[in-house]
Amino acid sequence: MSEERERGKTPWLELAIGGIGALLLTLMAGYLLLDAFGKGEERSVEIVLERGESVAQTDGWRVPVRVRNLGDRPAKAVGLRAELELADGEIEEGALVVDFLPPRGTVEAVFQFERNPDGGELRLRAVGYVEP
Amino acid sequence: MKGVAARSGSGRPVADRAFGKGVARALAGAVLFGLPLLMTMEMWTLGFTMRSERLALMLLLAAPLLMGLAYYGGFRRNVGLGDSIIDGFVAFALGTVAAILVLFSFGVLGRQSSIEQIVGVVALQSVPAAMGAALASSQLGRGQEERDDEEPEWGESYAGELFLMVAGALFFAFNMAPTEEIVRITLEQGHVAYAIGLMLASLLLLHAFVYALDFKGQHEQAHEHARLPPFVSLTLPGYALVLLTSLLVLWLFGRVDGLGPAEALHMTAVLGLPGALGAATARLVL
Repeated sequence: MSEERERGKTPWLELAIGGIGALLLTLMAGYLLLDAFGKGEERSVEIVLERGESVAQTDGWRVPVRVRNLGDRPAKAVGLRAELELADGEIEEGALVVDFLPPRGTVEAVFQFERNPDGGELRLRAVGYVEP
Repeated sequence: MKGVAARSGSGRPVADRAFGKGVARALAGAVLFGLPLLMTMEMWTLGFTMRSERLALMLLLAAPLLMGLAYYGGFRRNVGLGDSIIDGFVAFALGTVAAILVLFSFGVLGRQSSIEQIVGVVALQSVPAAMGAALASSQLGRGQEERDDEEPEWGESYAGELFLMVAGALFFAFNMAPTEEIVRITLEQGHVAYAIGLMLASLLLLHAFVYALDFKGQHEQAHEHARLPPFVSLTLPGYALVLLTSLLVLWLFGRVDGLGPAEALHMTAVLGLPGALGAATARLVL
């Protein structure tokens, strides 16, 4: 036991870090409680897909896709589907699954195609997800 | 005077220096104890799939737990409740810092992470890391002689014993409950006879670790604070607390949501086995 403590004094560093800890705990718990009880409306998953620029590769083309969840609920096993309809009427399809998509979170994904996606119409959509 | 700072006995700078050393130890403890969970994928996803109100409850329950651990371990020898409260918050701050540093450096969190994700994952991971920070002083720092000198009396009290058991059970349960294996074991076992067997084995292990096997820090055969046999006075209530702690952790993590009472209790018995080992070895660790 230090003389400081015997006299009832606590080191300033201990007080400072303890104060930060109390503040962090209060802020995090407060934020979480607000998130849990402060939202009156039904919570939702809202998935938006944003296509990036196609990039040519030796084995085809890749199209980066930004998967965003604008909702305030998480989604698990988000199924994505891409359909590329080329000028000659041929259709090339792709599918992938995003393991987890946090609320208001973003995940970067990539679809690969054998033919140039810029030579046709590329349709992207989320086909479903699992409620965690 | 017994503590590190007391031997130097030269006032505030020495006290600050001793506390600074304690902080460094605590950060090391937060990383050491927290790393297994910080590197567990289920914990990353639980951070944003857990219900917010349960995560908040977990944080609020962590505060008195950390204060109790700080009282027992402490960054320096505590003289009262006030110091323990401050040290509990210090442990939380250091656990949170350690969790943030590790999660961002591993790329689990980054620029693309939403605020919900960051708060959820950090809040979840900060609790075991903070427990590590609180335990660090008793585990990483002082020599045995010094520790013996500083052993607070309440750790020997009945309430203190039970508190340590809950803390040990909680730490082990925290490490196991997020994993799919707990669900898998429950499903694989299926029959209630397995659950009963697990409960009996847990009770025996708990009793053996605390009384029978001559581990370091274990009890004398005759418990000072109880007139009943130790199995009745400590092992049984200790195991009841282990089961309650396990059920609480499973519920917080959403593991028992949608399960019937029988399945939920079976899963509690499964988690109760490592929980009982944690409770039994808490005295050795602390």
